[in-house]
Amino acid sequence: MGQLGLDIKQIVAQVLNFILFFLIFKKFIASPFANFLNQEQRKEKEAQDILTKLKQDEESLLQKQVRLKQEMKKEMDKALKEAKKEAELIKNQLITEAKKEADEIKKRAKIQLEDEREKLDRSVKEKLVDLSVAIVNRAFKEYLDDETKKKITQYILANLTKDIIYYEN
Amino acid sequence: MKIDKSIKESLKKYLAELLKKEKEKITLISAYPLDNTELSPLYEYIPDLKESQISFVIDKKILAGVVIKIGSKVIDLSLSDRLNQLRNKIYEIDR
Repeated sequence: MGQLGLDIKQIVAQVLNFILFFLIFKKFIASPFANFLNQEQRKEKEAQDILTKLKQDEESLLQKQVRLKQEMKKEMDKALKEAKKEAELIKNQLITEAKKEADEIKKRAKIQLEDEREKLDRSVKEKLVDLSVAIVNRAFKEYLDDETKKKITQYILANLTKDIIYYEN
Repeated sequence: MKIDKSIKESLKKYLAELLKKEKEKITLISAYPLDNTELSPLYEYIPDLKESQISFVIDKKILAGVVIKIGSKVIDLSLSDRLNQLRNKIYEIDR
């Protein structure tokens, strides 16, 4: 070995040195580093999982939102339709009632008008009769001479009936 | 205050007489003085007139005919009453 230029002692020392280095490296550097790497990898995986879950959640939320929006729109349409129907019903009812009331008022006004007209007619007729009688009375007063008065009196007395009409003074 | 019975009686009698007189009082109202030709149908119509004392009154407002007042009763046979009757009839026709 010595002829080959190899120093056994040195080789053994180097081997020992290497083993020692390997052991120290493994114990104090490689293992913690591997642990750190594993931990980081796990963390990243966890983060990835959370992200995926969040994405899924967001997607489902979006879907839910869309569905909710659709349902809301549907409900709103339904409510609007019902409200419209109800409003139409109330409108029709109100129109009918107003029409009825207007008819009633019209009828009453017509009756009142008719009544007023009748009253006015009667009053005019009465005034006309009063005036006519007053004119006749005046004419009789002015134009009846004694002879005519006598004739009228005689006529009245000649046509007396036995049914005497008394009235208290 | 007490009133004497005899005074009471005479007062009663006097009032009854007055009432009787008032009841028998006859007034004949006409537009002009009536003569016998006009009075005779009236006497036939109301025989009591013959025996009663009549006061004659002239009232031109009645136009013609006569109004007989016997006490509180009235028999209106005047032309103005006829006109009133006519007016009332026209009123009734209108209604």
